Amino acid sequence: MKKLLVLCCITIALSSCYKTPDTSSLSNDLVVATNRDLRVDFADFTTYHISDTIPRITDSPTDTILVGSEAQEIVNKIKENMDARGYQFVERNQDPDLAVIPAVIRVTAVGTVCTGWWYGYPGYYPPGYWGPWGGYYYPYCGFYSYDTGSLNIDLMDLLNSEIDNNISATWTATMFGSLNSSDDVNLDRALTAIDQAFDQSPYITTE
Amino acid sequence: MKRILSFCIIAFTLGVSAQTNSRNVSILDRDMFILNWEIAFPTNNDFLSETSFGNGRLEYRHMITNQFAYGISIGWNSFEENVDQQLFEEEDGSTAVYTDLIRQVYQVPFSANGYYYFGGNEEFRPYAGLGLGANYSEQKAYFNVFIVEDSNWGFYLRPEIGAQYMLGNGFGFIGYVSYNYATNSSEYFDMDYLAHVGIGLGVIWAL
Repeated sequence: MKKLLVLCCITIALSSCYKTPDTSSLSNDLVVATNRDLRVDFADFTTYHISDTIPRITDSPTDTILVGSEAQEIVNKIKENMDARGYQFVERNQDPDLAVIPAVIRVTAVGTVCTGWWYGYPGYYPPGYWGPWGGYYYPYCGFYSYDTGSLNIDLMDLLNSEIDNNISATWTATMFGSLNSSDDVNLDRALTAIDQAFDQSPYITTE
Repeated sequence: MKRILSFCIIAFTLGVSAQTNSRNVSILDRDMFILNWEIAFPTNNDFLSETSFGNGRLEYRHMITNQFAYGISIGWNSFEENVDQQLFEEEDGSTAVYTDLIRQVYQVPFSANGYYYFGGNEEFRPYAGLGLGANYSEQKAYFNVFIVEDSNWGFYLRPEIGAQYMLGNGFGFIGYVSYNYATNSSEYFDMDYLAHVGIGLGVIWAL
């Protein structure tokens, strides 16, 4: 009996060989996740609007918007991809079909079940910015944790928002860690990640 | 791994010194405890394919005749592989993630075993065996700051051929080649089964 006990102890000790891998070798600069609403046909939309400023989701209520040349380059890159897919940019007062909302997330959220948690933060465009709508609605759930420095893009359906008075998300792209946690924006990484987000979403097209 | 190696070296040293005192190598009607170290080559390459050196098995065998033995065993296998950046998509097209990964599979097979020993002499004895039992497994994928994981149980089957060499005074060595198949499946990782070929070396104590 004693021998069996010893052997059991050895087994348990050896089975502790299961180790946590060294994750330092993993990429932090180009991890791109996209989610879409499968019920949406993106060919139903023809126009879009995107603002020149980018909401910054932080713990500070006064630090809410990313402006300047960095923001402009990110916005231009998104425009470039949307235009390439056949969508036409229009001003906000010209009834765009899609609202394109980029946001820089500088807080770490762990355990969130569904995407879209950030729209309650100061700086994120309130639903009223786009019209007389009650709120945002995300019909899908995605990743449950966001690292600080992520860039997020939502494509919101303004065309059909009258139906339930909500602005429904049709597509969300999250570019984890593409913007680092300091105020210096690593534009190259962010711009490459935006291209990757559209590359892996070929269904975003007017055709 | 270092602990296993040290253990084997000490056991080998004791065994060699013991054999100078006695040449009683008969194992008929004796209890054998066997500790194996194993190299494992995965054969279901959909999930991972990298050879693992972090495996082992602890066994109990009892010779009921000069040809037949029965026993039980518990093993542990730990696989790990780095996967380059690529696009991973849900089958329904709702989610896509572009990232690199570290994939891990850990498994603990429990089995009841039967062995048939071929001729040979008292010292050197080749054998064929079959193990049947259950296999517990955990699968993990690490990317960016995330971990996706699944765990499951499956039916376990292990045909094996090998040979043992008894030095004397109840100490000996064993070597084998086995095919390990388990029905563990994971919808999450699109994995239907687990399988690997194992080449093992071990030490025997006959009590």
